[in-house]
Amino acid sequence: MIPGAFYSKCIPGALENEMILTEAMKNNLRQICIYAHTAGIDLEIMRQDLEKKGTLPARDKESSKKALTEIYDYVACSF
Amino acid sequence: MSHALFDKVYVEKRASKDTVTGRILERLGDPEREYIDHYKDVFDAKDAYAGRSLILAHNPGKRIYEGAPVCQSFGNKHFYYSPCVMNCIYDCEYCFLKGMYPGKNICIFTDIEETFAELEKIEKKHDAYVCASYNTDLVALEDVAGYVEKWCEKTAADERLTTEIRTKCSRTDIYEKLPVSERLIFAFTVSPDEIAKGYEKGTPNAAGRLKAVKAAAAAGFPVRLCFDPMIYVRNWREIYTEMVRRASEELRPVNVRDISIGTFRISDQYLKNMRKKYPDSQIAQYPYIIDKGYGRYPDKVADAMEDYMKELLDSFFKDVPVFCWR
Repeated sequence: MIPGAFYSKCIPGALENEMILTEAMKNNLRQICIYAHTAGIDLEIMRQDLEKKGTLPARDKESSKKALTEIYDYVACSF
Repeated sequence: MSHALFDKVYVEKRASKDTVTGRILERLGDPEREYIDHYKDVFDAKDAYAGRSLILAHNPGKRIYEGAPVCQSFGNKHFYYSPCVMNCIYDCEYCFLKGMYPGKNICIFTDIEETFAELEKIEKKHDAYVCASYNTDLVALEDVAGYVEKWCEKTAADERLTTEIRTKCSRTDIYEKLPVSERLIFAFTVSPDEIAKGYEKGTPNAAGRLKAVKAAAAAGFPVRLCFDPMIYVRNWREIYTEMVRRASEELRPVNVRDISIGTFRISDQYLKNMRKKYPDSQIAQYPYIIDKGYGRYPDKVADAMEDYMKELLDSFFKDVPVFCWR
């Protein structure tokens, strides 16, 4: 497995398109998505939940940062 | 004993005449070996050899290091570790050795007397607390290296020295043969069976490790329990509750000296190495927060797990001192 290729595929397009992300935020989100994949967490279900809550789509950097925090909590802190 | 543990045996030329080298080779049944100039020629080799070789060598550098801030000092002011053996027979997914060492090869430094000489220089200034089994599992390798016995002998004879030997090994037969000292602490890492099965390949289950705790205590050694690292998995509350409950039942008659707890943490650099090597590892790929050069769980997770563990220990191991890494 080529690490670069693997990492670059890991943010689902639907998720990335619903936020305004800096490179640093993209890197954080990428790591969250890789972990979700290893832990069997369904990112599509998460994205739909965040859409219902109104967290996504996030239309500016500030609300994207908040969305990223919620995504982190959902994926990495909810066991 | 055969050397089935190792595919190949290498001996550094300068270590070839050591008594320890001779003893190890004898224990391995005098295997074929290749003589090399420097242990790094094999230990650090970049070609991805999947097997495990044994290297007998001299330690060219420092032998006693100051303990890392993320490791427990148990209140000891002068806390050190000593890598007399590099790498481990077990294959734990979360182990920092995976980020530190390039492969599976094990290197035993046969000049252990030089380590003790360096230690004595330190002890001229103050007492020392040394963790002798951080970079390996000395108990699991005892039939090859014989270094548990060496450290026991050294500690029993040296009043300025307290030694911790940490292990996951379930052997019960060695403890009664070792020289006992109240300053030689056997520290047993005990994990829930789900963690051992899922992430600690080659290690014994909790029942086996708890039998070893009892054997060490029965022989007269102080014993420490290490519920560390705690790993964040889906059913962590259930599995850690069951583990602590079972440990308290099994160890009811045992006088446990103290307990160490802590959630997983690792140096940022080692984490980067592990993530490259193990793209599918749930542990390596967790999005740790990076705090002062170390990756760790966010406070929300670490606090929840460590507080939960403290409550469990307050119920099941009341009156046993508990040390938390942070």
